[in-house]
Amino acid sequence: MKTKTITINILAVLVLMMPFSLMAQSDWKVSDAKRKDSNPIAYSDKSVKAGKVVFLANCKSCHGDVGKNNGLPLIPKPTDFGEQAFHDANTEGSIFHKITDGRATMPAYGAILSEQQRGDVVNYIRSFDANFKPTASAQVVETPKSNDTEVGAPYFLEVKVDEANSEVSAILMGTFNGAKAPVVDAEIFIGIKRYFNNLPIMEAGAITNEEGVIKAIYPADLPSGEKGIGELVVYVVDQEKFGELNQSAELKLIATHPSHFSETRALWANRGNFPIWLLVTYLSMVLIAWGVMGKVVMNLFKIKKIGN
Amino acid sequence: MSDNNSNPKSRRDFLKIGSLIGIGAVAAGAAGYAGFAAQDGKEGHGGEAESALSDSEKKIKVLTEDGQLAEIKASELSPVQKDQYTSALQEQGREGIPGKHWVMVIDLARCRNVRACMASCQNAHHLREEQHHINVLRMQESEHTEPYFMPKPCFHCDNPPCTKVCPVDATFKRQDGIVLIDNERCIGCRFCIAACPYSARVFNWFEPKNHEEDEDLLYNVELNVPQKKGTISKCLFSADRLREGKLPYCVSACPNGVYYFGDLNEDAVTNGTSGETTRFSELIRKNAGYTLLPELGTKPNVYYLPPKNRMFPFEYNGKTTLEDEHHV
Repeated sequence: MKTKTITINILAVLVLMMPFSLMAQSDWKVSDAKRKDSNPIAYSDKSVKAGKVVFLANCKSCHGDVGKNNGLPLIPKPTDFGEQAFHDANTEGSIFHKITDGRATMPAYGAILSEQQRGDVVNYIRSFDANFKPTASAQVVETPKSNDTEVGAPYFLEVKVDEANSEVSAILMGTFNGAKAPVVDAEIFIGIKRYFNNLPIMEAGAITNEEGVIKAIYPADLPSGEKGIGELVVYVVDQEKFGELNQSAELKLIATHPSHFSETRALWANRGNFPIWLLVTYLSMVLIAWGVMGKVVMNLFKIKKIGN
Repeated sequence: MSDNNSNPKSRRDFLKIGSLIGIGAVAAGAAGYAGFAAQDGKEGHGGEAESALSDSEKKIKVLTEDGQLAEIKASELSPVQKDQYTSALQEQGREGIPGKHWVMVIDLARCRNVRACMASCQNAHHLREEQHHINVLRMQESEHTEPYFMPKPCFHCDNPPCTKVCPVDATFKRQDGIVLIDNERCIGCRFCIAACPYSARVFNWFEPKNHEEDEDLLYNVELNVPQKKGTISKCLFSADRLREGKLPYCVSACPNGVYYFGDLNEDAVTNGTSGETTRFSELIRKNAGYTLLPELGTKPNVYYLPPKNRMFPFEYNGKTTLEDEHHV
C-alpha cells in the first residue's frame, strides 16, 4: 500500500518532469572520439549477467528497474534503459564514458568500478537495445531455450531450510500440461526480516536454474531477538507475471544480548538518581551531629538538676 | 482547651471555602466548554446545506496522531484530556523501544553537501535556520590532505557526558540507546552543552520558529515539538519515526545514499536512499568504519566510513579546495 503510493507519487513527478528530462538527456554529449570508442569488454552472455549484478548493486538505486520507469525523481531524471530513444542516441563508447566520467547527479564510476565491471554494465544496458546486434566477432553463447512460455499459472513457491549447512533453497514451480514443472530464469528474493527492511542473503540478481531452484547460504551468526529466531522472507520479484508469491520460514540464528545502559550521574536533583551511599553517609552525619547537640543539652539539664 | 474548640471550626471554614472555589472552577469550565460548543455549532450550521444535517450525522475533520486528515461523526467525537495524553507521550518517550540499539553509519564518500538531510530535519523539528540537529561540515585534516564533507548529528553515546550533568534529569538515555531532551523539564542551564564534546546541542535563545502556530500542539518528547524558548534541543534520531518503523527524517531525505540506519542488536543497517539492508559489522569491517573522538570513552553510536573512492569530487563555492577557509 505504502510502496504503491510512493510509486504513484514518483510516477506523477516523472510525468511532470518529462519535458525537462528529455531536454536534459539530449544535451549530455560526449566528444566524437569517445563516441567512437568501443566497449573494452566484448559482448557475451556472461558479461551481460555480470553487468546485471553490478547494475543492481550500483545503478538501480537511482535508475530503477529497467523498463519499469521507476527511477528516482531527480533532475535531470535518471534514464530508464528500456527507452529506445536512449539507445538510438548513445553508442557503446558514449555509455562507457558517461559511466566513467559522470556528470551532475550521475557519479563518476571511474574510481569505483573496474574497467571490466563498467564494460559489463555497458553490455547489460546494450542488451535492452532492440536494434543492437552483437558483432560477428563477439562470442554470443546461446542460452538454453527457456520454457517460460510454456510453463504457466498456477505457480507454486516452496522453501526448504537445511540447518546443518545453513542453506536455504527456494523452488518455483509452474504448471505445464496439468503437471508441475520448474520455472527457469525467475528472479527470487531471499532475505531475513529486519526492523526496517529485509536483509538479502541471495546473490544480487540471482535467478532460478533448470530445476527452478535458487540456493542461498544464510549467516547463522546473525543476532536475531532474545530467542535467536529469525524470519526468512522469500518472494518472487516479478509480481506482474507470477502474482504475489510469498513464503516465510523460521531460521535458527543466534540470540541477541541487548545492552543495558547504566547511568552514573555527576549531579542529582531527584531521589531516584541519588546514590545510596551518599544518602546514608549524609543522613548519619546529620543524625550524629544532632545527637551530640541533644546530648549536650540533656547534660546541661542534668548539671542544673544536680546543682539544685 | 479553647484552641481545641476553634480547630474544627477553622477546618470547616477551610473546606467550605475550598469547595466553593472548586465548584466555581467547574462552573467556569462548563461555561467555557458550552461557549466553545456553541461557537462550534454556529460555524457548523453556517451553510444552508449543512444545517439540514442533524448533529449526529455531521462530520468533523480531525488530524490523527500520524498526521493524516480523517473525518468522523460529530456524535462519536470524544475529547482526549490533554494532560493525560501528554503524560502518556512522556512515558513512552522516556521508556524507549525495548530490545533495540539504534546505530547510524555515515558514508563520507557519498556526501556532496546537498543538505537535504538538514532541511528535512529542521522542517520536522520546527528549528530556526541557524539551529542544527544535524550539520554538514567542511573538513580538511591538514594542509595537504583532501577536503571532504561531514554530516554531524548527535552521536547518542552509550556513555553520554551530557546526561550526567543535567541537574533536573531533563536529558536522559533510554533503553534503546537514544539520548533525548525533555523540554518540559529543562531549566536552560546549558550544562549539557558544555559537557558535550561533539557540540551536538542547540539552545533556543529566541522564540522558536512557528511558536504561534505550535502553541496548541501536544508536546512530544520524541519530536521536541513544540520547541520552547530558553531550553535545549538536539538530534533525536527521529525517535517518533522509529516507533512507526520508518527511517529518520535525515536518512530518508538524502538523495545520495550517505546514511545507513539500523539496529545494532539485529546487526543490520538500511540505506535511506536505496532501501538496501546490509550487515552492520560487515559494512564497518570492509570500509574501516570509525567513530569520532573514541579516546574520550563516550562510545558513540554514529559511525563514519572514510571518504575513499568518492563518487563526487569535492567542490564548494566552485572551488575544489578549502584554501579560503581557516583550517590547521
